[in-house]
Amino acid sequence: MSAAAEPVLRGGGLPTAALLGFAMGVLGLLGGLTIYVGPALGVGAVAAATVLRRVRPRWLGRLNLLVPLVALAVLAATAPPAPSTELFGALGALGLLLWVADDPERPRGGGRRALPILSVAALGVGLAWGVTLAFPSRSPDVALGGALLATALVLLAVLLGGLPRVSVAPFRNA
Amino acid sequence: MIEEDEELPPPGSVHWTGRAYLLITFGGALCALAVALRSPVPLFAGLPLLLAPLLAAGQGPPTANADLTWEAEGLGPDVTVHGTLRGDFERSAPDILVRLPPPSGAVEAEPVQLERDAGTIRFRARWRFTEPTILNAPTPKVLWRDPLGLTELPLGGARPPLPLERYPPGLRRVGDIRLHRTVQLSGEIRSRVAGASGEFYGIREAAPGEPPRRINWRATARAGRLLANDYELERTGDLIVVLDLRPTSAGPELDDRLQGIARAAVYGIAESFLRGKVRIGFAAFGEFVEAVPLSTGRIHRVRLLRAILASRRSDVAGPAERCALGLRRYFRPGITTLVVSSWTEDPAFDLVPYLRRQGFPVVLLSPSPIPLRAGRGGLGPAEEALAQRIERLERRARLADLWVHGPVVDWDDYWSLEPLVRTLRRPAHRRVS
Repeated sequence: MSAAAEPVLRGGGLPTAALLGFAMGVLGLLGGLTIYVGPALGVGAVAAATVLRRVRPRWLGRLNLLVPLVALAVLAATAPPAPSTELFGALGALGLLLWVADDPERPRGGGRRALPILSVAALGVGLAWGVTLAFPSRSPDVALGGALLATALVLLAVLLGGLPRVSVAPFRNA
Repeated sequence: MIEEDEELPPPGSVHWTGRAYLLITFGGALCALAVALRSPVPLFAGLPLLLAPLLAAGQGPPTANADLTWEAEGLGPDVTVHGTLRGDFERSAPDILVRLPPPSGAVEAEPVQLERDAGTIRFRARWRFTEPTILNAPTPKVLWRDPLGLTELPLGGARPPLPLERYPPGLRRVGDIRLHRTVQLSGEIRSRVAGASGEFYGIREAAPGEPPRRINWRATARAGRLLANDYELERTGDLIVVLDLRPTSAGPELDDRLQGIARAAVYGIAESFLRGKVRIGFAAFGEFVEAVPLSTGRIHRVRLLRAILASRRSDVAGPAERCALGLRRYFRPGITTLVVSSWTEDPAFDLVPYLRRQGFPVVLLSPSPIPLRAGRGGLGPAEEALAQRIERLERRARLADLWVHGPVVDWDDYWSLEPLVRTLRRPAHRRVS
């Protein structure tokens, strides 16, 4: 018995890759690594992952998510605590999710259909970032506490099912 | 296609994919890193990664059912499967995946094509079978996966079986053959069923609305009432197909493949003859005989298909005498009997002499294992060709001994059964290569 054939990959997906590359590049620029290494790591990881997810055989291409995840972890861990790095750390993660949704193996419009998930995640991050920004003290403990509080609130809302779902435009045949 | 009650599997439960676990691992690691480094930046980066799988689990398709209708078409080794999934998908149609792996013994000629609409998903798969086969197509797996690919939900709904019958295209013509050797003496069976055509049988009272051509006007004039002619329905000879399911020295793997090929041939032959209103009987012999009595018609076709699909390699080989005696319990002698058996060198294994002794005129169709064994010896192309040629000659020489009992067809080109067609068409022509 032969294995199931690999899915046909569609074109496109560059706008989300560019968005993710921008967020990661800025995070690298603001981060603790040297001025060339940080952006190169961020943008290079996104470029490598975008190429990797078009590689055949597909089992190799499915490892593509690891590359930007590791790069994001490195950049976030080395970045100094500041509102800008916190913001771009969160944007990098949200951009990564958007890039994941724009999968070339799936029909177009993945990002649009992922909006209900991404918008709630963005709401949680925004809430956390707003809490830390609103406090006059710039202590990292306040930011940590704010982020954890926001996470707890979002999780509670999800578990209780009280979050409104964001509606998207009716689907048309791709 | 077999008409069966459509099974309605229950929908599965939402579960996370490997990608979700990866995000949760990295999100958790970033949160731990934030606490360890007393820096909120990893926490901000990890927060969306942690939230996304939880949020995705809260999503779901508007329907948990997708009802399937599908059919297969094609000729010979090629098969095209068209299917439609219907359900109340609304906007989630692009997030529904259809996984349709090729069945055993087939390769994918092209990837599965999907066309999505608001309420329907149509798919088309093209497969190429390497050898004749008869089986039920594997049921497609229908999944809803969220746009991020973090959670999956197997959809339920109707999943009717789809039998795939691939046999040599030449068998479609085999039903045109008029079988002669149907009784102890050569000649066609005289039908016991009266009908509208054939040989004159007798005169009867005319029924209301009898066609004028059927009225015997001379007899009517003599009797003073309407009388009609009756005819004996024309019928060609009957056929018994015996499928040998005993294990051989070739090993279980090769046996399974050869018996799969034999099953496909049996079904192809039966279906073709049934189209010509021939009565077909079927017997599967493993340890014991399991038989489907002689009959014809569409219901019998379904009955045969089920019996053929259910026949599997037996673990124990029954003695050949048992098959011959068992066959006498179900069928009267004299009916043309086609034995499909992957013949071995063991003389006690041969059904042919025993069946012949019980009065069944036998034609042996023997699928050859030589093409299936090709390339397994680690030989080069030239040596392989030579080895095959020698093996084929040796097999032919051994099969020649069986010709004293009846015609023998050595079947080594699985997509052609012209030698069998020729043998059945002219049984007097004994030697057919």
